[in-house]
Amino acid sequence: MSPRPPLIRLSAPMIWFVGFWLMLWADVSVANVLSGLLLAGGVGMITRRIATRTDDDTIRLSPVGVIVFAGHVVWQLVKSNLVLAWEIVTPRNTIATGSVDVPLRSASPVVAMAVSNVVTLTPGTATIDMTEVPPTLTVGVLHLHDPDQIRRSVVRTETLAIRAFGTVGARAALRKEAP
Amino acid sequence: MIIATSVFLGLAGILIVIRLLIGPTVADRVIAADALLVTAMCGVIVSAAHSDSAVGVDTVLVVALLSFIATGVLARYIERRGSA
Amino acid sequence: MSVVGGILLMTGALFVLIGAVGIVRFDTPTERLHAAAKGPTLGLMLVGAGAAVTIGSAAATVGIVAVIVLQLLAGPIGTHMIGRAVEHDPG
Repeated sequence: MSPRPPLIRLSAPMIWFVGFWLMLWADVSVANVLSGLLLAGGVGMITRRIATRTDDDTIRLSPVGVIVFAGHVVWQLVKSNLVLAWEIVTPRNTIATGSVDVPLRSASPVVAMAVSNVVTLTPGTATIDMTEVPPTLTVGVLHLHDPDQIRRSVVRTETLAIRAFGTVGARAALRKEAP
Repeated sequence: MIIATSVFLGLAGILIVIRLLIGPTVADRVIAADALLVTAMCGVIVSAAHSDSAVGVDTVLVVALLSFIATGVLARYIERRGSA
Repeated sequence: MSVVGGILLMTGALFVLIGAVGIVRFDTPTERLHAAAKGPTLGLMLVGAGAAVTIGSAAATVGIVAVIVLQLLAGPIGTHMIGRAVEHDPG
């Protein structure tokens, strides 16, 4: 962790920021790009103490991984809605709610947020809490019958997320696990 | 098909408003308000599709942002002050 | 093209309705939270897809993509915050 973060640094989040800014304006003009860069720089300066980077923090995007991950997300969302429709029609019992702690492998905020969001969109589960050290995700489950199945499902989601936009370090760890 | 879509959304809105009025806890009302805003966003998008113009899409984006902030603020309120 | 769009719109509205029924029917705030998190999200995605297909202009599609991305990112976060508030409810 660097002792004093640099004042401003052109980084990938800035590019995403400017891209989103341009999308909001729906018009790619010089004025928009410049104002976007100004704003991105301003936000970056304000938040530079929060965002510290270590060496293996570089995120690598894999297009195939992203597509697979997006498909996974949509499929989970569709399944949740079908399960929801079924649960509406059948008689309810609220006996078996519980929470499961799932240890995560990577501490990357992008992967953690992606997994947390997808878990909330998965049938019957929602993220309750997340701790960074050690990286753990606490999942609240509506019908808890098998905690290990929940863990396996979350870990699988995390694997797909790492393959899509994991850091170099996380991808290496992933390869070491499953040769 | 537009009729069916509007009927579905209208029914959904009425049901959510029922929960908004009844819901015993503040959390219930916050959940209902968020869902009601999403339903309204869907309504605006459907009307944009029906009139074949992208008029309301900017409004929808702003509503989405505001609803997120409102939900977050209300959630913190419930944590601090309690509901019911 | 508008048939596909119409079907997408209608299916999206149907899922919003399913979510709304869940919100009204379930007994505890946690279950209602689950219903509100999943139903309207997919409904919005399908409705957005239907509108993008029907309108077809670049500006509309870009705007709708932005709305869907925002909902997918911010929606579960809001759900999580309310879930935590319901758990740590002091009163």
